Amino acid sequence: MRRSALLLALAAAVIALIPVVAPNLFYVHLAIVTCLNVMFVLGLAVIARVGQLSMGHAGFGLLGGYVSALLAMNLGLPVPLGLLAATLAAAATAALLGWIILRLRGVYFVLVAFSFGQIVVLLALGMEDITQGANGLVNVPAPAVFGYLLNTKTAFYPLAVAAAALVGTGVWLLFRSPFGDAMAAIAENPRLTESSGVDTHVYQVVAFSIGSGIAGFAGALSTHYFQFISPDSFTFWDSVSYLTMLVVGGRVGVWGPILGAVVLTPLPELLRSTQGLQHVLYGAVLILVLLFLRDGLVGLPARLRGLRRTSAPHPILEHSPERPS
Amino acid sequence: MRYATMSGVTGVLAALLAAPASAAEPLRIGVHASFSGAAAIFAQGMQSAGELAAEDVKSAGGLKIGGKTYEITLKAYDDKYKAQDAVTTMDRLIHEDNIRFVIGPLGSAAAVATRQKTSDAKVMTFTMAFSHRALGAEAPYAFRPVVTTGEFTDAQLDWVLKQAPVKKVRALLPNDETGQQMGAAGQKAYRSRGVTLDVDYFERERVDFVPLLTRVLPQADALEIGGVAPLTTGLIIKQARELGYKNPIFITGGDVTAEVVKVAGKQATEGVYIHIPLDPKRPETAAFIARYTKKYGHAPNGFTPFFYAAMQMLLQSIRNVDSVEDTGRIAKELASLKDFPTVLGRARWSGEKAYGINHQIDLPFYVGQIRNGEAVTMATCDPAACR
Repeated sequence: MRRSALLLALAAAVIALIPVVAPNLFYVHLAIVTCLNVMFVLGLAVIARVGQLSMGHAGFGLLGGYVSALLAMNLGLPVPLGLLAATLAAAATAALLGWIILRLRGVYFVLVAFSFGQIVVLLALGMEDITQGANGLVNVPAPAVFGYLLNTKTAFYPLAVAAAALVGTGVWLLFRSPFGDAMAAIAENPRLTESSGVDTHVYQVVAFSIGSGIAGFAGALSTHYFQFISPDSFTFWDSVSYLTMLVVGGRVGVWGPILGAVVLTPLPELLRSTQGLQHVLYGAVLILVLLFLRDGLVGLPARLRGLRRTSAPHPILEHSPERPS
Repeated sequence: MRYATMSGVTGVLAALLAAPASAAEPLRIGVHASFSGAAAIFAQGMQSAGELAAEDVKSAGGLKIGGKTYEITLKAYDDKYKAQDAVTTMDRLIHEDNIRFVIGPLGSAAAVATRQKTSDAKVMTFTMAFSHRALGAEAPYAFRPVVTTGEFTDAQLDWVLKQAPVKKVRALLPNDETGQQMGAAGQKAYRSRGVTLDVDYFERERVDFVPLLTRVLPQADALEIGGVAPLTTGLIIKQARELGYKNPIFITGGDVTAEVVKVAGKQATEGVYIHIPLDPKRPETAAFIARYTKKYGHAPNGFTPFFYAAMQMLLQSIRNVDSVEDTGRIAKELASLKDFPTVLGRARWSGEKAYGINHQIDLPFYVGQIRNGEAVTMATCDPAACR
């Protein structure tokens, strides 16, 4: 417990110091994008908690982004209200969609969720009068807190950290609650869970709505940070990225998704100057992690401890007469 | 003896230490383009233009500015043809690499998404984006060194319709900002000439056009293709001809003949009407193409010489201002250059009427046909007419 608290305090100190110690603003930008990705991956983790895989996750981000941007640009709605509306719009859409499609499992749900993501992109492209089509929306207002406009990287950074922390805490509390236990049980064995009196369908719809609502919130916050959104802002490939972060970080709990986003968001930046090669190198890194760390990066300490135990002489064997001295 | 040897070694070491490793300071230029995906060929061409400009500077003994000598080094990043990645890439060039001059962005969405950032940071950009929003009075550091649909549509269309009088044209364009801009501009231009233009948009990654072509070709007197990579253009032509389509084909924008012929073949491309951005017979252009071909082992795509010309103009502006820092003055100096000799002929910047700022390259362009696998120039044009 004391060790966890120490690690948390250390992480908080590092996060707080980033704008001060970062060599330049690019690193602050990377830290902001990491916070945004942390939220997306946590949203996906909530859906994965009930054993589902949403390949339309970025679609909810796009939906949230457009809702918040359009409300701010056309109706002059303050950004915090826009963020709330984006979250609710994404969650409500997910609830409606989930009520119908969450009776499907495995590959069928993946395909329908993927289709949803594609439909949102096509709607954003086609509804030119509202979304400006492929041109996208430019000059989306930056958020303001108590009249202070967060239109610079250093000003936006605390908001991104606070939002990620808020979402992280919320998901952590959810996973620790009896509701979270029931979610995990559904993923493990839905029939057995249902026979214990849990309405698995409702739980799955709620999880899908919460996870997608988080994606809508993150998409909206991202749009106000970049001050731009177009149909290609959140595509199928972003859904793949979030899924990769979840798998590489670790699917169980809160720390895996966070770790996945923290490691995999800056990684493409290290490889960006390799131009076409970056995809190959990125893929190689992913394959290595998946081959050797099946529980994700979050399982690395336990695996190392296990290796140490294996390589260390067994205390009983050490004194056994069969052991050659 | 030992003393003599020691002092000899010491002398050599001292001489080595005293000699400067390199007297030149780096002048970093960024390349912000899509090095992965279908547009990679354009990105490579943009980077090559920068490399050749760097080679020029080096062979001239460096760029002498403010008592210092500079050599150009390039920093190239892939924006993956995504607006969000374009922002991250531009942030990196501006803040991490402290770059003040950028070749790119390549795509329209990338140019629009990064415009405010480059304006705030006073970073000069040389974009290939066809969107009219890539330029403007509110983007005083953004220049466009390529001739776009906005400049060539009217004159080119008059000429093409004179060669092939058709009434119903079908355009196949990419489903993104570039395609939608071209579609809207094309429909307006065709309508004003009494011709119907129907547009079908497709995803850039698409390679199988047979279903789409099967649907649209029976309704088309002519087929127009634009805004996509040469590979895609070649695939569309090849698949259309395989379906038995014999009516005229127009390719708008970019000189992509070599790549298109490579994909579709000589027979399929015979008689295709093309936009030719440069005159390869012009001595300085021919010399550039020969130099490029010798260095890279293949001919440049039609946009590369434009970026090289822009680099020639930029370097002259830097020399005139005698600063590599003051991009405000460099941008004004660049915009004021008139009849500047480039590899494409004498260039200047215009666009005040269309964009509110004279940051659009002003060079003649050409139209012609592909004959026996070669681009044949048939008329020289300016925005008013082709002659």
